[in-house]
Amino acid sequence: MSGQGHHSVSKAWRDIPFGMSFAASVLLATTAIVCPAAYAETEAGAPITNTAALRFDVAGQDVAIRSNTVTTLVAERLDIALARRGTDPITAATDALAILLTNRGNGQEAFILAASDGSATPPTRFAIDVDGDGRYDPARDQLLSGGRTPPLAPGTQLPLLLLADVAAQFDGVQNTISARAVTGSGGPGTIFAGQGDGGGDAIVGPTGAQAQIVVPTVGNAAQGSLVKTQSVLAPDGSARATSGAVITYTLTASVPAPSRGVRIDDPIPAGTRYVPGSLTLDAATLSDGADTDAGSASADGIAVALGTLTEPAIHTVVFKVRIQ
Amino acid sequence: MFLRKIAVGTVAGAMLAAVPVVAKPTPGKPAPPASGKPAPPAPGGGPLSLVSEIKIEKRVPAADGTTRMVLVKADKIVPGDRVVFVLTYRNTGTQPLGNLVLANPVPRNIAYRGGNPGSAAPEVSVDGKTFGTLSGLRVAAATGGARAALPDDVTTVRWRLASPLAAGAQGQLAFQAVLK
Repeated sequence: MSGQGHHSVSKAWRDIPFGMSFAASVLLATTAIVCPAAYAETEAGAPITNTAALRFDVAGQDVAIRSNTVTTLVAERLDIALARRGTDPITAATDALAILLTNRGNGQEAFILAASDGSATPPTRFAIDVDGDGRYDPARDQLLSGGRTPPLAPGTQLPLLLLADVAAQFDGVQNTISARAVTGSGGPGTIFAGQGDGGGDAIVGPTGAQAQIVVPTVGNAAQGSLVKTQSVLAPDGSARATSGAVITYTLTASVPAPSRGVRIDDPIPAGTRYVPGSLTLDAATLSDGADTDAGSASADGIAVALGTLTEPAIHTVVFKVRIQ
Repeated sequence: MFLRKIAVGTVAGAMLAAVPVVAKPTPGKPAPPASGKPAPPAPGGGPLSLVSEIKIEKRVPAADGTTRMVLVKADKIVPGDRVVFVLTYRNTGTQPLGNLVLANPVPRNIAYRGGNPGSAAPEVSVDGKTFGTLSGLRVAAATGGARAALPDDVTTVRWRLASPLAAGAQGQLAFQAVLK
């Protein structure tokens, strides 16, 4: 989790009718993004053996010998990535929230999932979305006992669903889904001696072997909301907020109607620089210049004008910054 | 055989300019002349010992507040870690050993990166037969033709010692690699 203190949301809803106030919440989500390795990672428990050969002449004789064979067991690195599948707004009518869990470690590892939404009765059941269609099919999809996945081979991507236990259960402000490696999680470098595959050690990798995503619930349009989430991708493929890492901000606006002069402003956080050309509205790219399209971006911030809305609507603004 | 070729100096390539040598005179046993009669290698490994170790670099804080890198035994390596393969050889016999050639196939799941600082740079090979500097080697390209060899392509490293290893002398050679 990369909780940087400087991430604040500025919202400027202009000319909102009916005197409505908008509560914007800052939600930070770490979504590690899979970075393809140059080659398949060596699996935990594999022995690395080395033997050298030596030849020499002694008193006219050619002699060949070999060294001892030294063996080192590859330790198990515990790493995870968690991402949302799909972009459909989550509302009270939602019955399943689709996510994707990736075993980014190099060993066979199971993961435990949990969910909260700020209410006393959050959705609690997880299921493997066997056919990956994002919908729950009791005949085919497989409920997880205790939110625990089966052991996953390295690199495995497991499509999962967070299920509403009853109707209208996605009623919180935000849904927080967290997952962690069963063997252990925590600070990168934490060692779980002897608990890796093949009897070696298990070591927590750059992701901390835990991940969290936050998916806003889009409220009833009569109220309106603006929710900001972020994901971080560091140059090394991890989700650490290090220099050079790119933070992708997603602003999800639920706008009531009728509204006039609706506008989203967000400053570029201190210590970061806007990534030129990264501003989008509902997945369509907006040019950075202050021109005919709805958006503009500068070193100071981004602005997207939604104008007049006669129907309630949900709009998604995305932009990227790079940590200096 | 190629050892003979080396002996007559027909193989170009990096020869060790300086081999760390610690001469250890053996009391009462003067080194025989180079032209002495052939002596059979001692049983159980012969007159030369060769020890292979896998190590990793570890930062160790010093008393003056600085840190220095030391090599420690690699007992917890994960993909992406840099490892150092260290070979220690020693003439345990009583005669000088000539034309030492030390070859180390790059282990499975290991990608060669380069010579270790402080060690002579090895010659490398992408096929186990032809050795040279990496920049002089080529490999078949996936798209056809040939391309310059990369460290990942190296399958064997080799050192040839330029001068005989005196009785009791020892040295160490090392190369850096990364766990795939």
